[in-house]
Amino acid sequence: MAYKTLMLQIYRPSGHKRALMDGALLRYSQALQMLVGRCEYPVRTLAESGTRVSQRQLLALVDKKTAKDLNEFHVQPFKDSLKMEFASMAASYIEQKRASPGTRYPLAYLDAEHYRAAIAHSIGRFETGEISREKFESECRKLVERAGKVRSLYFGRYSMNRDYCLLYDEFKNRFYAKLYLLNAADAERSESATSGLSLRYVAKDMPPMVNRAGRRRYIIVPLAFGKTQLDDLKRTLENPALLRTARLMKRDARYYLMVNMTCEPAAILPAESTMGVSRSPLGGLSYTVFDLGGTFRKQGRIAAPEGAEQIVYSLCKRIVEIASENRSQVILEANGGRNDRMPVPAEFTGRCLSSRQYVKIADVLKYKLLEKRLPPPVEVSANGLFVTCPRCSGRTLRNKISDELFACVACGYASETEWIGSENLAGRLMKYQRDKVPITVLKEKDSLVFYNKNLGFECVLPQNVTDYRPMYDELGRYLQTLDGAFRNDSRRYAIWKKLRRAPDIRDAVRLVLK
Amino acid sequence: MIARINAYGDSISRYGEELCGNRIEIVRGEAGVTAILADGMGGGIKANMLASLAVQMMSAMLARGEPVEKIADMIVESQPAGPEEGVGYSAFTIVQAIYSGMIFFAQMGTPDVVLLRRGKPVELQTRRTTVDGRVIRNGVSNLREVDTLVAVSSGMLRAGAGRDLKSGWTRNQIAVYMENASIPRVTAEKLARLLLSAAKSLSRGKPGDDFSALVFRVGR
Repeated sequence: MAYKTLMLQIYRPSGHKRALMDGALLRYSQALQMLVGRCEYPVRTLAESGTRVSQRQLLALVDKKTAKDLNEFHVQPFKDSLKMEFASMAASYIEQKRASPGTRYPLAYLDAEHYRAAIAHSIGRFETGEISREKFESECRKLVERAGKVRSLYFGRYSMNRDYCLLYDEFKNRFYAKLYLLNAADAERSESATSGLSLRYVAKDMPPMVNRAGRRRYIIVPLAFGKTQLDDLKRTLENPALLRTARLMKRDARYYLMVNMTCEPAAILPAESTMGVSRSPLGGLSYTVFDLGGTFRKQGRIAAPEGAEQIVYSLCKRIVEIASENRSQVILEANGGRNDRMPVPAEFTGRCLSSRQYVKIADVLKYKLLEKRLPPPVEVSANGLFVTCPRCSGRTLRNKISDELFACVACGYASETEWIGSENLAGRLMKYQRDKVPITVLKEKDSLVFYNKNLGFECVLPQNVTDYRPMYDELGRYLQTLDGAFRNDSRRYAIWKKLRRAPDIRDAVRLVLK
Repeated sequence: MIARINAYGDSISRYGEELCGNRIEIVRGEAGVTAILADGMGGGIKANMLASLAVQMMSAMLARGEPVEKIADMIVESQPAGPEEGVGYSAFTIVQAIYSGMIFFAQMGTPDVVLLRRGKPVELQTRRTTVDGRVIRNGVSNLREVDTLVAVSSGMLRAGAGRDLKSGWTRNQIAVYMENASIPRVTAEKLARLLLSAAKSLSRGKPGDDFSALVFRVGR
């Protein structure tokens, strides 16, 4: 299941609401730090134990007394969220600690008292020569950055009566958020939370929000967002179950609600073309689009924007645009394109996408393409991709003439090396469809043995026969008996399926004389 | 002594042209194999006629047992126009490989031939003579087993013109390609076809010029 996060700004909250949100963020951070600090010893012990740690074990570390002590921070509405976030932090710490023993214990919030103590401790270590000047400066910088910085407030569930939920005013076509920030003791009395509004919950059957007299533990705030987010939110009106958890955060004196929502599984459109996307030796990505018959349709380069922070997302955006225009099945290099033998000209060294970035692109495309109702990307083996001929599939290093020129020594196909990767990818699915299943023929003293090790098939015919029909009939019967046998073995299953689906089994088989 | 000389040449016409401006003729005799690659300048019927004229001259003179150098001189002398007129002549490469283990070649206006020895390109020494204001490059070399000699028309070097290649499709690239493709049992025909296929591929299936390739391969 794919999720996406909507970043919704809380639109011009009043001074009172700002104070309530600031207070909630501070109390949440302090309470989380208390939890993290109190459970340090058991968490460290678990990290050192080396055994598998379950979420239940981590949640169990928050005992009744600790849970009761949390009430001092007036965080009763966030208790479940605090426990979940603590468990998540602890699990992350344990995993990192096991991978790199130098990992520090997490810090949720650094208050003034602890800040002073930490600074004094660093100064002491520096004066005794325990740490270098650079290390001292680095430690102090980190402490200054973290001092008083509050964490985002996690809402662990979407609900009308607790945590958070969204509201919709159909007359104004606006969305609002209802945030439970106060406990029962701190609840405030106000005349109306929704004066002049006609709000309905974004929930099943869209119940209206009724103003009841009494003290309120929540605030209602208007939300501001862009067109894309509006489209997403409109979809939640039809299916409120898409809304999941959320986080309230403060950045540059502005407040944001980061809402996680499920990417709705829409009907996937059938692909009309294949689009191979490979790394480019000249930086960025190269793509080639073939129609389903293998005819060339389009080719181009997607340059990585200079200095952009989010290179991966901007590249993905362009891939999705092109794939949408051509309604393409996107095909990518597996394993980040490692071992694809991409030649990089000296002047472009360091400008090419790394394997890690390419893997990230594949991950992002897995949900970005679904949003456009396109099939998810297919990843195929990248071994020797840039020295493989797109026309005859001949793979040899001798196909490389120079860093920029490819010429196949088997069929004479020639092109710029830059396009070879994407052309190979675009044609790979067609190649898989064309490829026949090999049946090896072994000549023995007075018989011919036909076999395929993957399928476990073997058939013996007399050596003087020229009509192999009995072998094909036997193969057909054998495949029938295998029905569903290879479901857990994708390779064997693919071979079995190919033969079973072939209109004539002879057209799907290739005899190889050994 | 050389046991076998394998020679093959072929041409591809410019896209949309029926007549090819290049002609290749291979003549096999008792002493050896002689071939001419004639490249009529310009295009269309005029280039085709110029190339045909050069080929016919070579065939006729070869039948009289004239040496390659003399054939080249005669072809140049018989050209209908001088170099200042631009298009009215035919560039050519004549190659003669003889079984006694020698190879002679003469060229005018065509890219230098490529000789691969043990699969690696080697430099060939040429002697330049001027006839009617045109430079003829003559050369001679001994032949060894599994030597490969490749001659191409000048149009071949323009195959990569529309491509985003810094070094283009040059004689050096052709030499590297032939080096890569020269496996022990490859035939002259296969190498010539590969070259033409690569050039056609680089011009995206629509050659902007006539392409020709002539390959000699010495067998055991």
